[in-house]
Amino acid sequence: MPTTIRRVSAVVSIEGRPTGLARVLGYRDLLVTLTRRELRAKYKGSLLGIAWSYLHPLLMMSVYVLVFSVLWRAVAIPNYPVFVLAGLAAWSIFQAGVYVGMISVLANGDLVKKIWFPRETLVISTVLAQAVAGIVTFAVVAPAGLIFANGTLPIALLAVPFLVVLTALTLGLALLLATANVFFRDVEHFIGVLFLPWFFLTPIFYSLESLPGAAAHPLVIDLLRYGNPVTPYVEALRGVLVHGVVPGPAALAYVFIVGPVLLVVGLTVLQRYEDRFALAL
Amino acid sequence: MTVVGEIITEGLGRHFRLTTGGPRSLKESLLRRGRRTTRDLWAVRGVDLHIRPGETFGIVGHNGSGKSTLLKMLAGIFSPSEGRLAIGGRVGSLLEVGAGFHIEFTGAENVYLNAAIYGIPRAYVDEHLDEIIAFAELEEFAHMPVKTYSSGMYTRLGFAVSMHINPDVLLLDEVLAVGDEAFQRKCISRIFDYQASGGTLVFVSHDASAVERLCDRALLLDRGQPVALGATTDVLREYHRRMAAHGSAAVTVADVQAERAGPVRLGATTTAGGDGEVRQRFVEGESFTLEIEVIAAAEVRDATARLGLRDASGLVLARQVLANVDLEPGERRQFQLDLPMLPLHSGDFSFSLDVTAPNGEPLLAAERFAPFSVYSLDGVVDGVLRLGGALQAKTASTT
Ligand SMILES: Nc1ncnc2c1ncn2[C@@H]1O[C@H](COP(=O)(O)OP(=O)(O)O)[C@@H](O)[C@H]1O
Ligand SMILES: [Mg+2]
Repeated sequence: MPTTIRRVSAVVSIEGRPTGLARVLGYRDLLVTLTRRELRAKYKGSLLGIAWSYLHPLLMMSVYVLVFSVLWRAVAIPNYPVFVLAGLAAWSIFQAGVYVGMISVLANGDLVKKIWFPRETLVISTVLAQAVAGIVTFAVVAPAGLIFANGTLPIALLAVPFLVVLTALTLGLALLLATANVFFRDVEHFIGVLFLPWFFLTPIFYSLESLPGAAAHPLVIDLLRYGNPVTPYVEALRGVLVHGVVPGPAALAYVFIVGPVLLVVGLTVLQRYEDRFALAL
Repeated sequence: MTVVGEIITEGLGRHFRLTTGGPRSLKESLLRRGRRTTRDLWAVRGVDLHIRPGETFGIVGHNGSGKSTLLKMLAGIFSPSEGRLAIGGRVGSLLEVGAGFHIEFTGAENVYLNAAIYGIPRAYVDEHLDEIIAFAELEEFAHMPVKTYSSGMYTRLGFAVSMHINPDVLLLDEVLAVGDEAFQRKCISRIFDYQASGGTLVFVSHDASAVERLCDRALLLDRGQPVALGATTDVLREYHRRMAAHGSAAVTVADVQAERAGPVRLGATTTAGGDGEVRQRFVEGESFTLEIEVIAAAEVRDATARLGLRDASGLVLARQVLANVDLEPGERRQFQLDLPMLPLHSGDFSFSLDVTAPNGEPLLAAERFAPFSVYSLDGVVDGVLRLGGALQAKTASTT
């Protein structure tokens, strides 16, 4: 028997166009189609395929270990290679996700100009595909933390909800920047430049506590920790995977509130301005 | 609330603020705020429509009259700046060139993508993919990225998808303008099927004959204003009347070819109406004057000039011959063709001029110059020639 098409009521009823998360969930099939395609594009046509997800952070880790630990002897952090790897993996979910999400609406201008569908699906699918690639890295970081560092099993499982809220944070920022980028084309260049100092301000190859000046400037440390939204996520993930330590209540509250809130804000802003996308593109 | 397949608009309008110089950058807007000049434009305003389920509705108007903007509002791509809009059911749209494809995706992937956008389950596409690809005649290209497609292939696939997702409301913008004739026929027959199955169709075209054939009712837009709404023939008659009045607008006969270089060149040409006004749009039966300037580079003796009147396809409809043409070197000579009653009914036309020496040597061969359009008075667009007379029923006789 042939499949019948279910009636979607008023795909384009301007009066009652659904908004918010409900709309996203109503377009699950589209999200799946876009994400699958995004993943296939990412891994097709590159010789190393999925190995890239490992090679890049491993290479970066080796460089940091060589420079800061072996040659400079600047850090005395135990299990330094695993420590760096965990931080890099968390950062790259954030950074790569924000970047691809930010340019996704512009990159799909042809689609946006010609047909209506919830615009956030473009951002969400690219960020999700990027997050999948990042989570693949964690499949190596987690066992490494258990075997070589102080990770312990029940605590390490907390990495799963942390990764979910990290993805929410990434998505939220990506949605905001994707919207801005449609109207101001240099946003992507600006953010691209910003990523490098941002990376150094995020404790990835160092920890905030291990900084020699930390004790003398507690205010600066607090600013670095909570003023940079990625830091609590990097620390939380590294805590459970590498140190076997559950973050304190303040840090826990931060990671579970900031990401989802930013996601809702990003979604609201994009949906608020999406009507102008087709014109601005 | 609307029922499935119904479209209601009230005072629908879309406003554009045109800003000079492309998209802004953050830097620019921070550094030189307010330096840009802007212009406000109501692309569409005050459109009240009630399109019933199963109706085929046409939108006609000159270029820039707001047809596409109105359709984009119906499709949800632009939001209205004012007014109300409600559509019942699933809306499929195929707007101008391109159907909303991801250019990096293959044809088949785009079918899935488009289907997902319309909320159609994968399983349905799995079942119908071959059929869709076959309809678009893209069997060999289904697995190539659509960025490698020609615009014809692109449109064929877009049309195939739109027709296979069984929308309740289908919006088509100038889709029949592209693609070869065989495919256009296929599209039209598919549109008839869609109409027969009870789907609502909104059809935009500047091709009056397609609107005439397909639509029950139509709307005429003029600079964004709805100026006629009602039965298709009435609206088209008004459309033609206005088209004829707009003397200076460009006509659709394309590729006006430059004449080949020769001993005789074609200079300025003009077409004018009986009032002497130079224009390119005429109403059937109007008086018409063509003026041609011919420039001779060398002496011409006893040449023969043949002026041809051609239809849009280039077919010669009529010819006038002038013998014994003599021209001095460097001379510019005017020729004039006066027609007290233009024997044309409707369509796009142009002229050709051949000048040959007595020995048959071609001196000038100019084609497709002085293009002009003729609009019929009755709004019916079938037939290029004005037959005159009247078709009458004779009194019934029993044998
Ligand atoms: N995205 C846009 N931004 C600014 N002006 C636009 C835009 N789209 C259309 N317009 C303007 O609106 C008017 C109507 O255009 P359009 O709807 O494309 O007309 P049509 O389809 O009848 O040729 C034109 O003057 C056009 O310049
Ligand atoms: Mg148009």
